[in-house]
Amino acid sequence: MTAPVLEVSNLATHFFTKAGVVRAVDGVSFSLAQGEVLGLVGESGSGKSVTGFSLIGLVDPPGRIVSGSVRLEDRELVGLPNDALRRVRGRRIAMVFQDPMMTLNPVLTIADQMRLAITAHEPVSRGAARARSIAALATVGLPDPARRLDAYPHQFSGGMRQRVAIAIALLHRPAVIIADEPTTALDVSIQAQILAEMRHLVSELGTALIWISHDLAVVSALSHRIAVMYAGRIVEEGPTALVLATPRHPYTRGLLDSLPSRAEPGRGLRQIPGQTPSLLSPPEGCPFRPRCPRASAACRVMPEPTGDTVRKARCHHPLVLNPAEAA
Amino acid sequence: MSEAFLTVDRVSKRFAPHLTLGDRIAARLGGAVERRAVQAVSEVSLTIARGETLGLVGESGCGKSTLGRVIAGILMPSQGRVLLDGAPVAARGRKLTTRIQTVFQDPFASLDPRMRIGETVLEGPLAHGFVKRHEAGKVARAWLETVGLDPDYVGRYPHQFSGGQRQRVAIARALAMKPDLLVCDEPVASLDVSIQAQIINLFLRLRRELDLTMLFISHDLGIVRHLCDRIAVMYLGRIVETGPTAAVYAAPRHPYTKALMEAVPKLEGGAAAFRPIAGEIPSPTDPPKACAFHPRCPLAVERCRIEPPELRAIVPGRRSACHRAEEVSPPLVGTLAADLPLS
Amino acid sequence: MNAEALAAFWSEFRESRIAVAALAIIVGVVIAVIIAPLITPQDPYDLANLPLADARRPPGFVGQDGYTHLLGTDAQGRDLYSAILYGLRISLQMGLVAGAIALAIGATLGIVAAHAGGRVEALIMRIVDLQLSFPAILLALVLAALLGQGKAQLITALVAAQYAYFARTAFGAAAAERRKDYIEAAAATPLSGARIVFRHLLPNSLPPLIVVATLQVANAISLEATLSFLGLGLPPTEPSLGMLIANGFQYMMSGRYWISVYPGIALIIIIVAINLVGDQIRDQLNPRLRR
Repeated sequence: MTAPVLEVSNLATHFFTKAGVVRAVDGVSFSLAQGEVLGLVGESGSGKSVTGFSLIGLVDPPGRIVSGSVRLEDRELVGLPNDALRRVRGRRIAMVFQDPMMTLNPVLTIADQMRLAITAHEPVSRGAARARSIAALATVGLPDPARRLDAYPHQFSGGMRQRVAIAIALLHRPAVIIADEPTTALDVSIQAQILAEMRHLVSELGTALIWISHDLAVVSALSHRIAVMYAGRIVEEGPTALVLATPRHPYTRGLLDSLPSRAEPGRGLRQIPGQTPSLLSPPEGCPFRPRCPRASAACRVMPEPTGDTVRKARCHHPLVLNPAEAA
Repeated sequence: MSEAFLTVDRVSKRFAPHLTLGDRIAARLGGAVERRAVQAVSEVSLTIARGETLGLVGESGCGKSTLGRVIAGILMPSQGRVLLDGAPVAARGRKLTTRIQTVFQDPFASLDPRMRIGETVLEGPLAHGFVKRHEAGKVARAWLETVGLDPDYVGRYPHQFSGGQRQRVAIARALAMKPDLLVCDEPVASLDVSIQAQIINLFLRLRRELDLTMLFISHDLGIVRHLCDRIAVMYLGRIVETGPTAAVYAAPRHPYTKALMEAVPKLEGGAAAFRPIAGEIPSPTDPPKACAFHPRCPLAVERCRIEPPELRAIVPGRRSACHRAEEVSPPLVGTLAADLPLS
Repeated sequence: MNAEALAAFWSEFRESRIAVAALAIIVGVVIAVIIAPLITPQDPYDLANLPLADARRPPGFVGQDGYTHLLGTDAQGRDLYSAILYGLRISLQMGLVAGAIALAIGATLGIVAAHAGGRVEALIMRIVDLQLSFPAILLALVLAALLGQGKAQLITALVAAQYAYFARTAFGAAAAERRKDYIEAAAATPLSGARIVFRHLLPNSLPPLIVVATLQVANAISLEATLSFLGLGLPPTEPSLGMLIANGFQYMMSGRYWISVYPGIALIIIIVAINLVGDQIRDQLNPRLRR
């Protein structure tokens, strides 16, 4: 049994704003095995994106990681000085953003950008860098890579730009890729293409992938395991199919029930009442308590994760369903 | 089947590039200037019956937003006309009626940040004389309550609300004009999943209580299936298929409709949960000849490259713009449509 | 704009000590010029009563009438301290009035151009651009020379030189706003063009206009001083700061520096103070990235 390629323990990232301390990530722990795809799911304010930024060390002031540990291939990333972090970033752990223009410089050709990405970590000749770039673009399914290499980002469509961003992320064959909502801004058909590419790449290259998204269906198509986040914590975690078929946490259940595909057309959807809590002043105890149909007095105490090694949930009253009830 | 309440009669909309003097000089000197026009909408004809909700579905560049704006009277068609109850919606560059109102996509941009929400809701009705000044306060509070907001919020500014709440204000603003037709342009696309459910439920309730006729524009096939009686699918400015929602989802009669449904990942899927469409969406400035979908279509034959397909009736109530419409097989099991019973 | 937004703005403004100091200076100057007759020993415009014998005296000199000339006297025997205060009064008057009128004219033109679009926009903005390519000083000079001396003429010259900045800024802001959904929603109701311009476009284009207005007041003060220095603008009987500086210029080399230098310092202080406050307002009104 191989050691996990990424091990996160009690990660906490807080933002120290004038209005107060925003506890964007408040105690997140999970591990990622080699070649595994973890879907990190949540709505806005859940802390999923900040978790991704924290792992790769891209949290800007007024935010910072206040506690916890992130071990990548048995090397601790939290507290690493900037130049050491820069050697790791891009090489062993890479990120793909929602907007590919966050990766791509609009005034440089793709060739230049990829060459710079390569030579930042390895001394490589121009010719060798070019060859590697062409190979990387071919890997992500970009047609006619040798010619497209000399184009500028604005000459590509959104889907192609995202593929280029993924190719750049893959240049050094990192152990982990963090993808922050990479297909949210893309059309359905393009999203399907990129999902298919990622599935293929992950199995072929053995790269571990953290796929951050709010779309449960996308995550279900791609990930082996899923972690649902709410108000800065993981509230449920486990194998994707199992969690989506028989959710333990009422929030997961609520999210699934509110999907139109789960309801009869024309009938009201089962909605979760209220709104996500303010991260400035979260409610006492379990943050889902004000909206939870199963809440009780016990929920005034923050629940710890309970369960087994396969799946966990942070709830005092987890749903324990038999498969028949889940239909 | 009730008669048409809204008629869209062969509407086309073309955006010509706006060349400034500088552009013209640059072009003379050999610079690259985009001079091609975009044919956003081509020869679209459709009808909406009273009390019906029509879903307009498609991806970027298909023209659904543009068509929605033309129907709402915000844009003038380059050709064709839009009629509500027999009367033209717009003429000579101006919108003539207040009976069509719109709910826009982005709740953060569609409300004036410097106006209190009560004023925003009342602005239209006051300007058009539907509401008198002395009763304005009461009317504003009533509308806020109708859309599920605390009436005491009338004095607040948009930045004090969440996305879902702002969208409710936008809906109240549209409904305060007492429209007969509500055009909704991706009204829930910018919202969180759990808030989407709340707003969809709001639409369902209001539709029932106010007997609304709606045009619901969306790229989200799941929501459209849930809300709409009939659906029209667009690709590169043309309608490629129309029909009752359940029937179209269960057995699409256009390869694009089928491919779109198969491309949407379905929950509880394993490897078979979705199937991508080959190729890229063509640019609207340079569409393929004849059938716009033929470069990506698994059923394409020589005829598709030469002869543009007509939007023709397959069975009563269903139309498809495909030469081989009868040969489109049902979508893959495990994709979006499979569990919907045939009506 | 409501009370709590203003309160939030002010509390952030307070964080910059430089800006607060600058604001204090401006407020101090404004109060001083308003009560000028009460705090100055002499009325510098009263030519009949100027003691010529006391001309060109250094700071600290005790004059004929018994009071100390804190900053010395100028070539006509004016108490420099009094002259500077009255001069500042004129500078501020000119700056504010010219700025306000230029704002009104320029903003209207810019916003109407943005709303109308097409040929109207092209016409208005080409004229504005043309004017912006001339140095404001040149334009003001030519106009002041043509129109002659006097307050109204001076204001006309200043407004003509400055309205283009407001027009361009207003156009930029309104052009950015006109594409936004809430403008489209207003047009979709449908609401009249006038209503959209005054009720929606104008209020939302104000922030950059406020910044420009603040900085243009400083600019107007500086322009006015330049014109007066060159002998245009106001008549010599109503000395503004520029004229005081001009009058004292010939004495600079002979050691009687105070006649030019002190009015010069006063001018610099007020202009810098306004610029600092304007900078702070501009930084605060900028759409901010994550804090």
